[in-house]
Amino acid sequence: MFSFIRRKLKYLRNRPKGPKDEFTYSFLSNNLRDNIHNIQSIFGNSADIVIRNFTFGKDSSYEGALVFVDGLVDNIFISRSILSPLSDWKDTLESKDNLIEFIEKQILQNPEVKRLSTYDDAISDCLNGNTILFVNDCDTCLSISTKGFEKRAVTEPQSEAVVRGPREGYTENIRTNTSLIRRKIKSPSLRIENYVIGEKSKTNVALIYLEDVVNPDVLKKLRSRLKRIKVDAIFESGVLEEYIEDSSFSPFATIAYSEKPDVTAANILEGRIAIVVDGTPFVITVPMLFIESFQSAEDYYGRNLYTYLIRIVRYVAYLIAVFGPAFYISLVNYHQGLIPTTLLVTIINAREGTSFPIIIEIIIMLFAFEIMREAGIRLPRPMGQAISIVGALIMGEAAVNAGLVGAPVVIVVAITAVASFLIPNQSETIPVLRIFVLILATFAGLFGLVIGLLAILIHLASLTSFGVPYFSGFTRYNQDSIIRTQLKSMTKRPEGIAKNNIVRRGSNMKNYSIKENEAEDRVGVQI
Amino acid sequence: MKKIFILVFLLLCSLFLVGCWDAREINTLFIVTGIAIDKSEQEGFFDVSVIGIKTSPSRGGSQSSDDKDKKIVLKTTTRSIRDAFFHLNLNYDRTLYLQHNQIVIFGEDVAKDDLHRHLEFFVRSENSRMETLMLIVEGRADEVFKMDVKQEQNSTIYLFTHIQTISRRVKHYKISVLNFIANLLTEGFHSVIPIFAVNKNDDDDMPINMTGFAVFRNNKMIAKITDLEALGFVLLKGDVKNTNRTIISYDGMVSFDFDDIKTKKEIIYKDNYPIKIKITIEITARVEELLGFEKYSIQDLNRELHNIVQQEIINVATQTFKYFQELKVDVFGIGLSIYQHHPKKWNNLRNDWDNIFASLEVEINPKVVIKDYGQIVSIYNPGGVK
Repeated sequence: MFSFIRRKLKYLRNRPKGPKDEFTYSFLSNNLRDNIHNIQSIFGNSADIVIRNFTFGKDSSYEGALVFVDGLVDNIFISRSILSPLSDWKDTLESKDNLIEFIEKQILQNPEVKRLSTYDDAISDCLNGNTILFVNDCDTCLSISTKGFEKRAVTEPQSEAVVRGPREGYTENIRTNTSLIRRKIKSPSLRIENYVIGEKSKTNVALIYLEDVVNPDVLKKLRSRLKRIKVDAIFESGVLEEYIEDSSFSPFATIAYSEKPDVTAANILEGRIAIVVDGTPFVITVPMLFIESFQSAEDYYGRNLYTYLIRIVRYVAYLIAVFGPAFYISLVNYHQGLIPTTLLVTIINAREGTSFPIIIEIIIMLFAFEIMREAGIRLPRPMGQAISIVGALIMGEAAVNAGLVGAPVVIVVAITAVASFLIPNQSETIPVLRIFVLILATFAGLFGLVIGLLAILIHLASLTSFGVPYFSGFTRYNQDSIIRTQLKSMTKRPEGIAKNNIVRRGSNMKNYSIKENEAEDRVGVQI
Repeated sequence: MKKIFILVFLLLCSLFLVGCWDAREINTLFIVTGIAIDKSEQEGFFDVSVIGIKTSPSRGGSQSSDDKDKKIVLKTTTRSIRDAFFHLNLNYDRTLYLQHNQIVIFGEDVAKDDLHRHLEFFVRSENSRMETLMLIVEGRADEVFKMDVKQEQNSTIYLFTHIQTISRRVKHYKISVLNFIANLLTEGFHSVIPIFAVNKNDDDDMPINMTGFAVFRNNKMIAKITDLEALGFVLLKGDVKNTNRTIISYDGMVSFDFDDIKTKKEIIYKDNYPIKIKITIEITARVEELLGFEKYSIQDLNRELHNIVQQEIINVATQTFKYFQELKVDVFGIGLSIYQHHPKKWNNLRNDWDNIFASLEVEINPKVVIKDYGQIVSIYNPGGVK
């Protein structure tokens, strides 16, 4: 027993503290063979690492080697822009000291070339799709941009379909994604900061923001949180999200994501910071407000009055999605007096002969729904549809006919489910809250439901996203919260998000009256 | 940490304050929709009958239920209402659920005896709603439960719907337990409750007829008003959306709809009794049926009809008022309005108000506007009908 504790303590005292740095290699040597040997030993003779030795110059007096990762580079581009100019150069230099500089500036026709002096940088660039050129007798190498790996084209986003609005969506390539944003905001104050996160994955991450609008406090926080991340790999922005968010325990997402460049661009213009992660088409933006979940890109592209209506519909749907089953169970189990008599009789008729208590019925249906939803998402699309049909039509009907559940429960769960689809950004929050409130309502009826509502409100009010109050959209900023005001009068950026540059633009835009129309016509005549 | 503590505390509160012991599965409830109270043959005992809706399993939208099987009637004889429910709960498999009770029906005998003693339970019990309607039935109240209603699920839902429909026109038909108790506690004011009679005639499908109002002095029914007095009561009370009156005169017959009846009471005090009361009845009348009157031009007809209506209102209202004066019950709230506007004077009147009411001098002042003659403008009488 004691020996075990002693062994444990010894282990704890001597355990490795944090991950080891991977590349501990020093500066490059001026011997080509040594350099190639070291590179080979670092990569451990990996099959996809290509080392191409060649000679060039007058009488093939110079030796060189290209190192690249097969599959990440464009082979034709390498031969055209590196090998071909080098083999065409049949001259010699007086001194070998400035050979690498000469190659960089005069021979290579590649637009992006940089000189490196450590193995660390060389390997990092090589793994990013660059080709590394080593030359004998030089203690620096050239990193030449020859990226040419397979990538997906810009297509319509799957998760954010729109009727009206841009249909381009992000791809898995970070450069494509930053360029999509840059094309939306052609301002010189748009800044892109690069980070490499992941000890093993070396994932490229880019922060994008407008320097004159962004809240410097948020930017500072974000930078420090990103620098603090020490993990093996980041494959998706969702992983990064969990490392940098304020409260990981909260059911609410405090970081927004989008697949559409126009949404990200609009967020950046309001003072948010976009984080683009290589390898995923989901770009995240911080800080996030609760109301963002209820805003959709189309709200700004469609008619203003319709947006009023649809926003309210979304809020109502959210309430139904969270409180629907809990409200039903409170009324039916505790407050039967609140149900109109005819409806009560209908509900009782449906309940007659069913074997389970109503809470079990609801739990059965909610689980059945979640199972079917998960099955529908994971399966290939045609099969997913089949699952939905089987689930929705056949199982629901059969469950009612078999007397397992009452028809009203099926309706309540179905309405709840459909309502939750209206707010896709909260799709991971709603089921958690729904079950929380359902449990309270099961034990204490409407009293429990109200307790649940208050608990959720208290939590929401205390939540922050990078120091910005999560719920603040309802209080301080009301030009675009419960209703979207006319774009002409939407003059301010959300407070808290943009700190210094609150005013979006002047309020000189208004509706055009008949008089103003006539005045414009007169101006036209004079011209 | 503090927040988590608060959350846990609130959750525990929710568990211990009410808890799931208050939960009731709805298919263990018997939904009571009506209660009938009658005098029993045994002295000091009452027959309490309750009616509820029979629920039956419905599968996939189809509901198997026979018309005859829609209702369930439970009956017991006890000394008090609470005893009755205790007894019924003890002897029936489901729990009686009173919150959906639509109506409390009293037999005439009970009403004449003491209504308040039976209402006390409905006011005090937290399971009952004070908004439940109440009415009196000529004869025995449980006769209502035997009625065969074709339209609704059972006779009490039929009656409730019926009262809701007619009270949209004349709101005085709708008296709840709360109204009645409030009236009992109000000085200078007596109540009326609608009275119905079960239709024993099998030729039609109208199971029950409204016959008028039962007049109460405090908690005892003392009289019944029908037809003319009922109309007079409605006119004198005012605040009525729509009612109807057919008048036969020497020149023909005319049927009026009276819309938006508003009544104003002006109390004129003199140094010596009697107090004079001036009642202004504002009516918008519409001609709905007109036979005869062919000798009149349109202008003359208007004047004539105007006179006819005014005279009719004066006659009906005066006659009704006199009737209530004879009964010595102030159902119009004249005492109440003296109490509200002149509390000091009321102090002198309150002890002898019933007698003072009986000696009030009344002046009826109708203000009639004939608004509409319907789709036909001219007077015609093809067959010479008179």
